[in-house]
Amino acid sequence: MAIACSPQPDLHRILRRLDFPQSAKEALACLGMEKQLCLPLAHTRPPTSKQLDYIGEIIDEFVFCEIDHKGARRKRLNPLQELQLLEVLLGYFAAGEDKVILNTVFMMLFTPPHTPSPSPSPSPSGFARADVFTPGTATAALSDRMRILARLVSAAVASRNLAVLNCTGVWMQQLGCLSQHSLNLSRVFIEDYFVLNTPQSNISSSTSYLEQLPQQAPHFTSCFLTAAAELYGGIDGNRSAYIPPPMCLLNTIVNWVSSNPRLCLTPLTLNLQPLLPKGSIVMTSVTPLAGLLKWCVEAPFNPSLKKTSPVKLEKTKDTKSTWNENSYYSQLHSSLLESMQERSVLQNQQQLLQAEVISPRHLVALVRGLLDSCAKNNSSNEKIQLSLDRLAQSVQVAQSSGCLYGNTHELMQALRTLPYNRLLDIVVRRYS
Amino acid sequence: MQENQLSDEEYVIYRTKSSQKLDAATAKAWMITAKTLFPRNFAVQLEAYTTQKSANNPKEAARYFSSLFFDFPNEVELWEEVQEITSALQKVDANESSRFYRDLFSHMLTEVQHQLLLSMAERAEDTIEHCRLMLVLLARLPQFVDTHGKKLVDTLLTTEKHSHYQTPVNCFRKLLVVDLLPTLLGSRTIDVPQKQLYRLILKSIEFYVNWFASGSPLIQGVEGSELKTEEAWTNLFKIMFAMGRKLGWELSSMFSIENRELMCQNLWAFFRSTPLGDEDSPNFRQLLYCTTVLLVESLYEYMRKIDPACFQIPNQGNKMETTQLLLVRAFLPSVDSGLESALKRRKDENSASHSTLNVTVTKSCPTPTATTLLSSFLTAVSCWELLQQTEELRNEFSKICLHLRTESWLWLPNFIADVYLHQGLYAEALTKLQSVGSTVLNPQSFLLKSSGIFFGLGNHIAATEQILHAVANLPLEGGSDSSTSFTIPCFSSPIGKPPLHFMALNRTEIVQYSVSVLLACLQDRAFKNGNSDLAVGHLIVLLQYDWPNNSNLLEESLEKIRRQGQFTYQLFSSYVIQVDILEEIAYLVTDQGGAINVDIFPPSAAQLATQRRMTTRRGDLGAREDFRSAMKRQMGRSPENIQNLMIRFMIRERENILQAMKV
Repeated sequence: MAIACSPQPDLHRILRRLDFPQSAKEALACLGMEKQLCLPLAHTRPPTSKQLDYIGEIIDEFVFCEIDHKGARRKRLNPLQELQLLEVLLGYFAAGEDKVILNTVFMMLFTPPHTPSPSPSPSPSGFARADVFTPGTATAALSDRMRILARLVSAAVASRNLAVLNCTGVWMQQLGCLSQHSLNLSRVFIEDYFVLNTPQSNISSSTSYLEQLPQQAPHFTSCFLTAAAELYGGIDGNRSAYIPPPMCLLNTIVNWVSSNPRLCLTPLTLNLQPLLPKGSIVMTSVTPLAGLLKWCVEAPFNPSLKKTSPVKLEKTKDTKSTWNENSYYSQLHSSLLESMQERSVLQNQQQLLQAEVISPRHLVALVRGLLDSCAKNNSSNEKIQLSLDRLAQSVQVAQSSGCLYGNTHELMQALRTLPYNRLLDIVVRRYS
Repeated sequence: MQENQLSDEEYVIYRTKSSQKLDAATAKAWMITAKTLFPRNFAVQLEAYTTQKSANNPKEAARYFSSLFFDFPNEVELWEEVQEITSALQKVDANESSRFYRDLFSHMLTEVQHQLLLSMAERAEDTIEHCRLMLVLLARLPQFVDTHGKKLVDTLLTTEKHSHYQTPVNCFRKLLVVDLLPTLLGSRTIDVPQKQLYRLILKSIEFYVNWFASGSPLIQGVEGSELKTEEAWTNLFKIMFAMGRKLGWELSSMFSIENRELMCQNLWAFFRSTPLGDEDSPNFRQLLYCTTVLLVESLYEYMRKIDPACFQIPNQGNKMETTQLLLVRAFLPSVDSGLESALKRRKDENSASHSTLNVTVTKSCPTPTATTLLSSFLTAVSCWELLQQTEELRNEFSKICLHLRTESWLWLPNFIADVYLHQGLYAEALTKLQSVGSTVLNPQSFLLKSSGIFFGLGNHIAATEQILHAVANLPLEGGSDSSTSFTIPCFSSPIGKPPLHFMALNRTEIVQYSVSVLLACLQDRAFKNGNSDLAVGHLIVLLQYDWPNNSNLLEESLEKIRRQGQFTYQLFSSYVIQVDILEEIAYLVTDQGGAINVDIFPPSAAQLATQRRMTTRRGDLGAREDFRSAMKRQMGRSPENIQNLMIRFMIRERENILQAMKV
């Protein structure tokens, strides 16, 4: 009965005597260690709603300063205070040692305001895609709490605060990497690191942080990739326009995936259970494979790619960037195939926690989108065949490496509806 | 061919190949697809490998090859590749293809590397190829030496036994000793029976010694010579070091010492401080084997220095002075004037074990060579003496000698004669020398050496005969290089061992040595009571060679002549030309000199006519005048080459000299 014993009103009184940001710092410290507010619930049993409410009050009042002592809403933190808060948060997580407590505190700090059910749904609805591509607007539609989280993650990448990134990875998986919240978070990250601050903007240090991100924070990187893949390309079964990923993002992802063949499989090998408070249910992870394969398959239909014949493109200088982009996709594609093959290695080493790597549903959705693209008059046969080659290769390697889990009947049916492609034909015959 | 006529497999291979021309990533995607689509199709799998190979991508190729290797063990093409890999591993060339195969191999997992070499070795058609491949395996993967090492030793030993090779210097032994043993002994965990290790020690010594003794770098059954002389002894020492460590030998550490004399001291210290036990005890065995190895090594170095032609191999590229050296008994000069010899150079190195060093080296030998020569000789002698210390050691060493067939090396008997000489055991030395005779030494060396030994035995006549025989074939005329200092220096030996000298076998030093021997032999004769004018005369002739050394002998001779009051020596005018000596003789004739009656000049035609002998008898003024002018003539000859004169004397007056000895 640790919480019952604690002198609750005293804590409020003590914290109220402090000024911000000292009050926020002390409040966090109390959550984690002093007064044992989180400890029991983290390690022994799920918290009661009363305890949760109490902790929520402390966070609302002293960490984010959203309410005053009477419970009335206060005005937002000003930008300077927000920075001070980020500093407090980064310091708190960097100093923490107990991963269970850190994850618990992180989840409580950033519980989404109107919690949508954590869902690995492939097509989350209701976010304005256009927002993403107007620089500087990614945070505009976010709640204060989510905006601070997004800033915290960007700051954590820059300062190599791995504790924050690890907690963020867990947070994303538990809420769903394809959930609105994860997507929003990823949009801000992309904006900060790949749109506003590209390698061309002469801040070379940020690119070196990015290079090492897969080794330093593989789970976060993998969750981010899953979300990022969802943000670009054509929307499955949805007629909205094809949106290409920023070159800088594409380039980085190609480097990440090709030099870390197991990156995309990270969530399958990471057991979150010991990192979460007692009684938590670990959510199924969604790997970035399906989303990134979709990029490769859809790339030939990218309207910005005027020419697709690599032979000609190689020669002329004018089309160099186009060729680069095309070759990025070739590279990404072969690296993804290699990543899938790593699954059998992991399985042999008994490191797999989850059988499902790619859901056949994701691929079915991809096929549907592809059908639409093929049907459009302006697609040359060359583009269609390149796309179908890649699709067939993906299906083949996914099948042979055991990445496709569950019933593939529907997928094979869908593949038959596509235009003729020799390899696809071989693959479909093989698995039907 | 049209695409649609291709089979599924062929189509996929076709696309893989054609995409290779476009970009590597696309080709890779096709390849992964092909491999997973047709995992049981060798052509597809091989293509995946070949593509990486032609792209010179050994890392990827290794991955594909590894799966090929395990999945298609019966494909001929696979084994052709394995053949390429194994042969590349045995080369060191910079050939691009070989390098690719070596890189390929290095990127494989250890287990694949192991299985690959093992199965290739098992497929080998002849034993030598099998063993060679097993050695490649062990060289690359020494961690498997525990698994395969002992069996390979047995295979090599058995195969060698059944092979047609007559000599230990054959390919099987070479693989065993040079290639396998260092790796085998390098393993700390492998357990080889003690008896087997002893056997391997003998096999190793036998191989290296016979290889050196063969006088050729070639090893039967091995193309070219991979063995280098400089490395050979180091290798043997390394083997002994590792063997000793395996056997827990206290002495094994001595093989990490550079200095041979220090090694020798270790052996003696061990012998003195440790009870040896019986022939099979470890202490006995280690002393026996370690001493034998050191003996053979120092003996080899010794022989190489005194007779470079003895071993052909050492002269690979390393041009040495070709003069042979010969160890002879040295003779003391009366005046120690030539002491800045090798002796001094070694003074500070004198260690307790060689407390008195009475061996010197000719000055024609460069100092470093002389130092090594002496060190090697004394080490070898010391090892030899150690092996003679007890009955058991003597017997066991004889067994080793028998096993190693040392009698057939020729240089061991020769060395043993030298050891006896060194110990002052002249009779034994002579027996040994005569038993090997001129098979080892050329006749001249044999004569020179035995002459000194005869002298040691007190047989001065035989000594003289040997010397006169030895010089009989020297050319009468030769370049006058008499400027070489030719003292044969030595210290008298307080411990009873005779002084020894390494002389160079050239004309000058032969003359020098012969004169020394003759001087020594004639002294006794010349100064004993009774008439010995002939011996005194010869002595005076010979003294000229090294004048003014030994001048005390002249004084003694003059003293004797004065006592006799007369002196007759018919060879005087032919051979005495030294001004100082002539003056001393001339002085004898004068009244102040004692007015000795000297009959040394043959009568001239005029004198014969007048029946007047050119003696120096008092009162015969004409004769005195004749004598004086004869002396002047002799002085006029003083610039003559003294060396040629000596040779002429020794050859032409052979009978006269012997006669003086026998009187």
